[in-house]
Parts: sequence; structure tokens; C-alpha cells
Amino acid sequence: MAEETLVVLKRREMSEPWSFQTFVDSGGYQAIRKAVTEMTPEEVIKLVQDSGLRGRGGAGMGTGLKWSLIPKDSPKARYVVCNGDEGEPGAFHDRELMETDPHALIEGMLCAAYAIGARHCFIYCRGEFILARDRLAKAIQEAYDNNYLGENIMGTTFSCDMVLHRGAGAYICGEETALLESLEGYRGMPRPRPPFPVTEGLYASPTVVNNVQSLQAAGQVILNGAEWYRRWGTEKSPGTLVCSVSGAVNNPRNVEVPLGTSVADVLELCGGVDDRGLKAFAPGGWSTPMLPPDKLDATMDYEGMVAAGSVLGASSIIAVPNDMCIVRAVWRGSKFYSHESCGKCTPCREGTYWVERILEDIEHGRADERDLERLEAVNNGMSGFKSLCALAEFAAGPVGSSIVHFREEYEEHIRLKACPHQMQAVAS
Amino acid sequence: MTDVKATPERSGGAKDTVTITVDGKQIEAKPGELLIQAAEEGGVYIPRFCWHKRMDPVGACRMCLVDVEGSPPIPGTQSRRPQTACTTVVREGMVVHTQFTSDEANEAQKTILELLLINHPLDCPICDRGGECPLQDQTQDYGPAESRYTQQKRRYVKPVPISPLINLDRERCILCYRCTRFCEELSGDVLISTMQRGPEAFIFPFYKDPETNGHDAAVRGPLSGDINETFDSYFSGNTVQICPVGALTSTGYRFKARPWDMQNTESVCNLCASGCSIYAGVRVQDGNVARINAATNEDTNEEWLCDKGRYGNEYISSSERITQPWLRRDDALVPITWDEAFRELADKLAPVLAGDSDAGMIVGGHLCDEDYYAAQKFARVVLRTNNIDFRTEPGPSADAVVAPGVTYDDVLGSDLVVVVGTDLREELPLLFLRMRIAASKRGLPIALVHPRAVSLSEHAQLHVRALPGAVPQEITQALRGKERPIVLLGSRACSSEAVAAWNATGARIAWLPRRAGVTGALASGAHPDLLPGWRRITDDGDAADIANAWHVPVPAKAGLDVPGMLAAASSDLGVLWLVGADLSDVPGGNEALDKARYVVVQDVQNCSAVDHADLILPAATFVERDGTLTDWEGRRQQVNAAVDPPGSARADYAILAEAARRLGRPIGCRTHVQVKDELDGLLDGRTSIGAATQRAPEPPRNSDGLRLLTYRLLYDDGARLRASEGIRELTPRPFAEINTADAERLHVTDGANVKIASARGSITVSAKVTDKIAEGVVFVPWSQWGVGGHQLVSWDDQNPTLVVEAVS
Ligand SMILES: Cc1cc2nc3c(=O)[nH]c(=O)nc-3n(C[C@H](O)[C@H](O)[C@H](O)COP(=O)(O)O)c2cc1C
Ligand code: SF4
Ligand code: SF4
Ligand code: SF4
Ligand code: FES
Repeated sequence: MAEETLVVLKRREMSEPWSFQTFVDSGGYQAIRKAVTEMTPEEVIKLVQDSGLRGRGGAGMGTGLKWSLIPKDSPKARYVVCNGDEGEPGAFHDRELMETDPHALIEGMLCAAYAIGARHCFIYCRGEFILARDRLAKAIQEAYDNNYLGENIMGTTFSCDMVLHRGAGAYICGEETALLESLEGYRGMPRPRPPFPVTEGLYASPTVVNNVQSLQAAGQVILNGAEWYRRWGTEKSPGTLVCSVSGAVNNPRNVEVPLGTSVADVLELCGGVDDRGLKAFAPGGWSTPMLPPDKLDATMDYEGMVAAGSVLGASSIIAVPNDMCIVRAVWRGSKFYSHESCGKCTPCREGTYWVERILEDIEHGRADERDLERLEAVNNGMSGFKSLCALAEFAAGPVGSSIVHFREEYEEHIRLKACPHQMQAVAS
Repeated sequence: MTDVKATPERSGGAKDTVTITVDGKQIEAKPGELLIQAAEEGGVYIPRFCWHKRMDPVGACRMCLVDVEGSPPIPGTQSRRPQTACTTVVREGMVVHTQFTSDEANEAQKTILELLLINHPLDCPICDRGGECPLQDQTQDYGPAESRYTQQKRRYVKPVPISPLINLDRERCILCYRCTRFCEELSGDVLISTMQRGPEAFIFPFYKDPETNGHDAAVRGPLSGDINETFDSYFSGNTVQICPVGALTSTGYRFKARPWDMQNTESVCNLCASGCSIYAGVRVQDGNVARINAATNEDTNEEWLCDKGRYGNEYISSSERITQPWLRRDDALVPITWDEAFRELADKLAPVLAGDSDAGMIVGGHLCDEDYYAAQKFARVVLRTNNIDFRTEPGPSADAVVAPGVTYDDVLGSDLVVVVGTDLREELPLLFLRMRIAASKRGLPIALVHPRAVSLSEHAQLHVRALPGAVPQEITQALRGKERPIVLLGSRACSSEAVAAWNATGARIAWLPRRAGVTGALASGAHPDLLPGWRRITDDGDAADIANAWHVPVPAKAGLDVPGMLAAASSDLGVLWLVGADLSDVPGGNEALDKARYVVVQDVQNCSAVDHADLILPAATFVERDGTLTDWEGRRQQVNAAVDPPGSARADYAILAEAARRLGRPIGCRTHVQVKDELDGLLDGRTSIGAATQRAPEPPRNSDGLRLLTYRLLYDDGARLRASEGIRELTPRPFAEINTADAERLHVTDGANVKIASARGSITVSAKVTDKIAEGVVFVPWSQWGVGGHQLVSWDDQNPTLVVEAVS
């Protein structure tokens, strides 16, 4: 039986883990002290690189690698930005991490700031996370009061300021360049990349954008070393991972496991699949291609999920119950993407619109066989990396994968000119 | 001396081009260049909707997808991720496959086109863009034949007027963001933006009250002025020209013509001295000018126009045009023939030709070079007088005339441009636009001397709020040590003292005339103290040159300027001849015409002078004749006839040449080529300055009282402009801008009426209380809706002391 491995969630069971006192009593702010007093910025970057820590925001880029890409010779200011806009359907781990251990995030960001030579840090916190915002605001104040933020931190020459920014309810603002636009006060729409944020990010200056978990884990790595972190996980995906689990399980919640743990084990840690049974699961949030139950052996790590035909994404497993109409589920999801598409680029703006409309027709028995062809055509049209950011890809994932695995359910809707699940519900 | 900076050091052997391969073809590109542009220059056209070479790339439409070797793979396939050519910077050795050689690129582009079309209304038959629509063209070239989607397309209220000039049909919009980027990056008038998001996103003017989301009303109901701001920008028409579909259309052009029915004639705009190249589009069926578009001219307007130039020409086909000669008989105007008109002229001018009486000519500010030349030759050879002047507005005296020579390129390449006493956006919109773009895109250094916070202020490194005429020390100091300094002097700042002082800084000086014809008028000698080719009448050698060329002596008696002629119109001048000169808002103009002995009005359309005219001669507009126009730089450009003049109207120079012949003192000049050749011979590359003593605008005194500042706004009471309904609607009401401290002292509140009086007159207008104007100065536009600063100034004092009181 698998066990939880609490690394970034290690303060979860402590009393008032978000308080400054709990934090410092349990080894808090020792990582930044170690970095600033014992290490050069280059050594910090090297250490994080050696640990193999990869970004938890979805793309899985090496965190140390990202820090190392900040140009050394740029005369511009550098910035550290934390992506706390967690909006992926099914994901709720960054929220718990910010709510339970806000100081660990501050410390992780300080480490990043020291490593890249930033004087200013920004936390972009999802607007709806009221508790996380309040705790972060309080923690930042405590850090200032105790000289962990501001001028000459801990009496050293290292100075750093931190600003908390609340999002205004747009999924797209979790995409790093849209996030930066939004942070600058513009409409949240992605920018073309390149230039990447590491060279032209916030205010066109070199910027590291990292996910909450990536930054908290980096703090741990700096305190405990690369080898320590590599005790968990796989060669290419070392360390631990917090997974959000929801849907057809008995105890939906966040669990922290070593990377490489199988989906089946993760579900087991959540009390196992509930009475309804499992029809399919999306391993990394709704935006990642769904897999049928015969892929429960797939492992929660970057390579394992690609091998299984999906991606790790936001490591948020949505277990689709057996009695769920897949067309309806996918249609409901499609409403999310067309609502959240920023509208900047053609494939996503037009694709999400038509996918939603065709799915609605199929679900409501208004479609014929040609509509399924049309659905596949638009869905293929909007995907294939034609869009400006990955949202179009995300939107296409559930549609494409559900047609692959549940084609007969779509065809049944068309044949019956109605949703079979709705008919059943009416009949019983 | 070699300019070290201009030739950056290069490490041995490094190239200043990069070689890329596009569809197997080697192309030399500039480092840093975008692939889409490099490919096009190398002969491979990659389709695009959003990319525009004068704006930053957005990568929005995704039409320019190509296959670039080395791009990351698409998992589970043999293909690479396609790349947008408009956001990809060329790299040495880059290998690219476009739609011509790559199935993937071709498929990707087709897909994008289909996605764009499934929501497009396909109302090409009633769309103004039909026939010149990139979407239509590319669909024909690459796209699918029919749409396979049956679901409901997005619906919006069909065209919504977002300003009196511009309509927006959101169903046709493909969200390429060219219009919004033009406003953000180029004009700086951020008045339209993207509303909503995703499939519901649309372009629209901002809601007046951001708190009450105007979305529902905007989508469902017609646009209401209560909900949205107006797209009120001097440059709005450019968005129509660059919109790749028919989403943005011009109110004036809607449904007027189809591109295939239109003949385009390249010409030059004559509504200001910016020298913009235009296409006059004439509808073949009825010979009407259906629209004015920008022509590309990298030396002047790039590919932009201001809205005055684009939409301010409706007078050309208005019912107010004068299409035949008229004579006043018994207090009524009666139509006559040209023959009768010339006989009448001979009759009335007989005493003048006999030397028993005097005559004078006032010429307007928008004529062609040839007209000015013919007019001054007519005055000097036929009427034997130097009474000829174009300065119906405060203009330079001859001793302050700065010959042109500075160009757009000089200004944009300068290391400090000082702009003195002119509000460029109002006076030379295209020079403003180009300077604004240079300042915002690459930090062109600008310093200003102007009492108001004007359009360029936000880009100025230094702004001294002084009245025209001042030569502030901070600025002369800032000019020191500059390598390519330039001083641009507005006409109000052009006293001889000021010119001398600026000259002493070593900067190159350009004088900026506002009106399109002014440089030509000066060069041609349509000025009492100047002869053709910038010659001075007081210089015996200069006068001899001209006498030799004309085979008649140049009149010796000093000529009258405009105020001089206005004063003499009721006494010494037997005939006052106005050639395209509207005197309605010229100080003393109407009064003088009232009392004048005999008035000839030669003009294109009815204006207030017509009420005072004894004889009216119909003139051709600039689209109805050939000629040249000389812009503020001194660049002479060709004006080409696009249509025939209405009725028996004729070009001004031709009317004068014919009159001269009938009066028995021919001046040649019967064709524009003849006039041009004669003028060319006398110009002969001359750009020197005439010098004579004459009234210079008096430098402002330092006094405790409030001083008036007045000049024309771009949209004013100009006779021609009044025919353009849309522009009329956008023309500001008269107002007085007054500094907060002054207003407080005088108990004047913002928006309330104030009475403003000078020694010459008084007006009552609404007050704008603001810190944008210097203390001690009150700004009143020259002439808005019949009221303005022209009622307060006199010919001797352009900045009179004012008495300002609140009106309850
Ligand atoms: C539509 C979209 C939404 C995203 N939302 C989030 C998010 O909520 N949180 C997050 O950390 N990354 C999100 N990302 C990924 C970010 O763009 C970025 O890769 C990440 O913040 C980098 O941090 P990391 O290197 O630490 O993973 C999103 C990406 C896309 C395309
Ligand atoms: S893919 Fe969607 S969310 Fe991303 S830029 Fe394009 S329209 Fe916006
Ligand atoms: S209105 Fe025209 S220019 Fe503006 S975004 Fe739409 S298609 Fe592009
Ligand atoms: S800037 Fe002047 S020349 Fe150019 S279009 Fe406008 S009025 Fe005409
Ligand atoms: S032209 Fe390249 S994305 Fe539009």
C-alpha cells in the first residue's frame, strides 16, 4: 500500500502551520539564510539544477534551468513572479499550499530572487482564493516585520520586496505571459514567445515565472540538498508531487507522493474508487487527455504520462464515474474553454466556439453523423500547436481523447437523437 | 570626420546579413528581421491578416504558419510544431518550408482560413471591402469552397457607427487587432479596444462608465451615445484602410462604389502642409470622387492620412460648388458666361490698367504653386502692383522667412528636435504622427516651447510653457553639443528676433507653415516683398532678374499686405480680387469686404465672401487639375487631375492666364506645364531668404494681465471642411482654456460660461479649467462654430491682454 510522502506539505498537520512562529520553529527561513550566507547565486542555481526539480505548473521545465537562463549581463531589473492563479479544472493543490504554508512560498521566492539577482517579487494569487490571499498578506507583513523581506534581509546585503496581486477570475491569466500582461495592468492575453519571460518578462525585463509548488520545493532543496530530494521519484522526474484527486473516489483530497507513483496507488490513498465505478480519468486536470481504466497503472510523472498517452499537466486526477455521460461531461468542459479562451488567436477563439456548439447539438439529440466529423475536424483544427498559447490544446484534449475512447457513446447519441443517460434518468 | 557610431565595430568576418533558405531559395535577410518580411523581400509571400510591417507583431490570426526546421516535434507524429512567420526572427542557416513546399504548412493555413470563415457572415455582395478583401482573396487562393458548419454563427447588430466617420460591423471582424494596435502604438488615441473575451470578444469603443457594463446593450441594441465613448481620433480613418476585412468602413464611402468600379489617381493632399500622398478614387460611372485613401510614400506620410485629409473633401461634390461665373446686378447674382465675365473684368480694370487706380489680390493658403506664380505675375504684370499677399493668418515677414530644406528624415533622425510655438497635431497632423511614432517606438528626443500641454508633451523631455516668440535658455542650452539638432518654428513663433536667436544655437531651422500652399506661395513670390525664387523686391539685382525674365519692369511701389489691402479696399483699391481666400474669420475681413469698392471672388464653392462679391469666377479643386504642391519641407509633389471640373470651372492659374490675355497683357502660363517650367527656371535651386523690413508678430510683453493664445484646431470653421458632415459633427464647440489658479482668482468654474474681452472685441464661451495651460495665458481656438480668437486679435497684436469674467 502506497504512503504519502510529505515534503512540501510537511506542515499540513501542525497547528496553525501558516503562522510565522510555527514556520520558524519548524526550520523556516533556514534555506534563505543558508543561501545568502553560505552560497553564491550560481551555487544556488547549480544546486536546484542538480536536484532535477521540474516545474509543477504543467510544462515541467527544470526549475534550476529556468533560473540559469536569466541573462547575466542585462542592465535591466530582474523579477520573480509566482504563478498562484491555479485555475485548472480539478486542481486545488496550490491553494492548499498557499493556505497552509504561505511562509514557505515567501522563502522559496526569496531563494529564487537571490539566485537571479531580483529585488522585487510578485505573487499572482487567484482572485477567488480569499483565505490564501489573507494568509499570504499576513505572512508577507510578518516577513517584513521580522526582516525576512525589505532592506538588508537578516542583516545581509540582500534586499528584496514582495507584492501580492489578486487575479480577477480568468483561467488564461495562469498562462505565464498572460499573467504578466495582467500584472502590468493590461488585458490578460498571452504574448508571442519568444521572447520568453526569462529574457523579456515583466516590464520587458528578465523574469522567472514559477508555480507555487516549484518554488516551495526549491526552498526545501536548498536547505536539504540535491541528493536528499532525489531520494524520491524517478531519474528524470525526481522528488515528490502533490496531486489533487476529485470525482469518483471516496475521499477526494490532495495527496503528496513520490513522482512515479501509479494512478491506482494515488486513488487508493484517496479511499479508492467509489461505488459508482470508474469510467475514465484525466490525470493532470480536465485539460489533459483522458484515459480509460486500463491505464490505471500509468505513473504520475512526466515521462510515464506521455507513455500512457496523456500528460502530467497539473497533476490533478479527475475520476469520471461510470454513470456519467461522457458527451455531457465533455460538453460541460467545452463551455469552460470557450468561456475562458482569451479570444486573441483564431484556432482557439473559433475552435472553442464551434466545438461547444456541436457538442451541445450532439448531447441534445440535434446532431447527425456529419456533425461528429465536423467536431473532429474543428477539434483537430484548433489543436496541433497552431494556437498562440496552449489553451486551445487543452480544450482539444478532452474532446479528442473522449472520441478515441468513447466513440460509440457519441454515435449512440446521434443514433438515438437523444442522450441515453438522460433517457435512463427519465425512465427510472 | 567619420561618424564612429554609425559604423559599429564588427568582429572580423561577421556578416551584416543572415542567410536563410525559404522553399529551397536562399535569401539574404537583415539580422533581427521577421521571417514573414524577409521571405516577402526574397519573393516568397506568406499569407497574413494581423501582421503589419509598421506595427509590432501579435501572432493573433495564425495565418502565417510555416514549417521551420529544428522546431520542437508534435508528440506522436512525424511533424514539427508550425511557427508563425510574423513572430519568428530570422537566424543564420534557418530552413523554412512555406505553404508552397510543405503539406503541413499548407494544411495549417487552410485550417486557419476555414476557422476564420466559419463565423464570417459571407456578406461579400454588400460589403465595401468586396473586391479588395484579403480574406476574400486568400479564400480564393487557398481556402475551402464551402463552409461545412450549420450551427448558429455569432450575431451582432450590423454596422454600428462608432463615430460619425466610422462604422463597425463586428460580424465581419476577424480580430486581427490592427485597428487597436494602430491606436495604441501609432496614433496614441486609445479609444477602441477589445471587449469581452474568447468567442465573444469584439472591438468597440470604451464604455463611458466602466462600472455599468455596457456589454448587453452594445451587443443587442444599437449603439447609444449614452453608453460608449466616440472613436474620436484625428487618425481613425487609417484603421479602415488597414482593416483586412470589411469590419471597419467609412460612413462617407459606404455602398458608394465597388473597388472594381473605381479609378485611382495618385496625388497630394492639400488640406495642410504635411504633403501626404493620396489616391483619389473616382467612381467611373458618375465621375465622382468616392473616397480618398493614403498612397504609400516613405518620405512623407508612410501610408497614413489624417481624417481631415481623408474625409474633409466632401465639398468637392457638394451642391455649394460654384460651376459658372456670376455677376451682381441690381443686388442679385445672375449667371453669366466666361466671355461676359472677362468683358466685365476688362471694364472694371480699365482704370487700373490705365494707371489711374490701384488693385489688390489676396490669395488663399491651399493653392498649387502654379496658381501662386500666375497670381503674382498677374498682379505685377497686368495690374502693375505688388499688392499681393497670402498671409490671411499671422505669417512670417519676409525677413523671418526660413527657407525650407529640413525634411521628415532629418527631423526623425535628429538627436534633439525643438518644437516652438506650434501644436503639431492640430496643424501638421502627419508630422505629428511620425514624430509621435518615432518618440514612442525609439525615443526620438523632443523639446517643446508652448504654453499648453499639447499633443507631443507626453513625449517631450523638456517642455517650457512660454508664449510664442520666447527663446528659453534651458532649451538653447539643451541644444548645445547636439550633433543633428533641429528647431521647428510654428508661424506664430517666427519673429525675426526669434529666428535670429534660434539661428545662433547652430541648429537647423525649419519654419512650419500650416496651410498646404504657403511654401509654394513664398517660393513663387505671392507676397508683397518677395519675387519668384525667394528673391527680395528691395534687392535691385533680384528685381532685375525678374524684369529680364518677364521683359517688363517689376513695379517699384511697395505692395500692401493683407491688412493693408483690407484697409484700402474702400478707398485706394478699385478692385479687390480674392483667389481662393475665405476672409470670414480673418480679423477685419468681413468689415472690409462690406465696404470694398469692387470684389472679385474666384473660388471653388460658396463662402461668406460670395455675399460681398461683385463678380464670381468658378475655380477647379485640386482633384480637378494638374499642378504641384510644395510641403513644409520644400518637397514639390505632383497634383494630378482625377476628374473634370464641374460646369465651366477652371484651374486658378488658367483663369488668370486667360484674363491676362483678354486684358491685353498676357502672362503666358496657359498650361500648368508652362507655368511650372517658368517657375522652375526662376527657382533654379534657390532657397535663400528674402529680407525686407515688415511687421513681425510682436513678441509678447510681460504684463500682469492675462494674455490670449489662439490658433486653429484641425477641425475648425474652414469653408471647405463645413461640407463634411462627419467632421462637422466632431468639430469642437468654442471654448476657453484657462489655468486653475487664474480661474480660481477670477471665480471661473469649469464648464461655466466666461466673457473674454480684448481691445478689439469680446466673446462668451464655455471655460475649460485645467493645469494643462500655463498661468497667465488663455487659449481660445481661432474659429469654431462662428466664435473664436480671431474676434479678439488684431493684426498688430496676436496675444492681446484680456479681461476675463465669469458669466452667471
Ligand atoms: C491556459 C494555461 C493556464 C495555465 N495555468 C497555470 C496555473 O494556474 N498555474 C501555474 O502554475 N501554471 C499555469 N500554466 C503554466 C504556466 O504558463 C507556466 O508554464 C508555469 O507557471 C511555469 O511555472 P513552473 O516552471 O514552475 O511550472 C498555465 C498555462 C496555460 C497555457
Ligand atoms: S490559444 Fe486561446 S487563450 Fe491562448 S492566446 Fe489563443 S485565444 Fe487566447
Ligand atoms: S475591425 Fe478590422 S482591423 Fe480591427 S480587429 Fe477587426 S478585422 Fe482587424
Ligand atoms: S496631414 Fe495634412 S496633408 Fe496629410 S492628410 Fe492630413 S490634412 Fe492632408
Ligand atoms: S500574420 Fe502571423 S499570426 Fe497573423
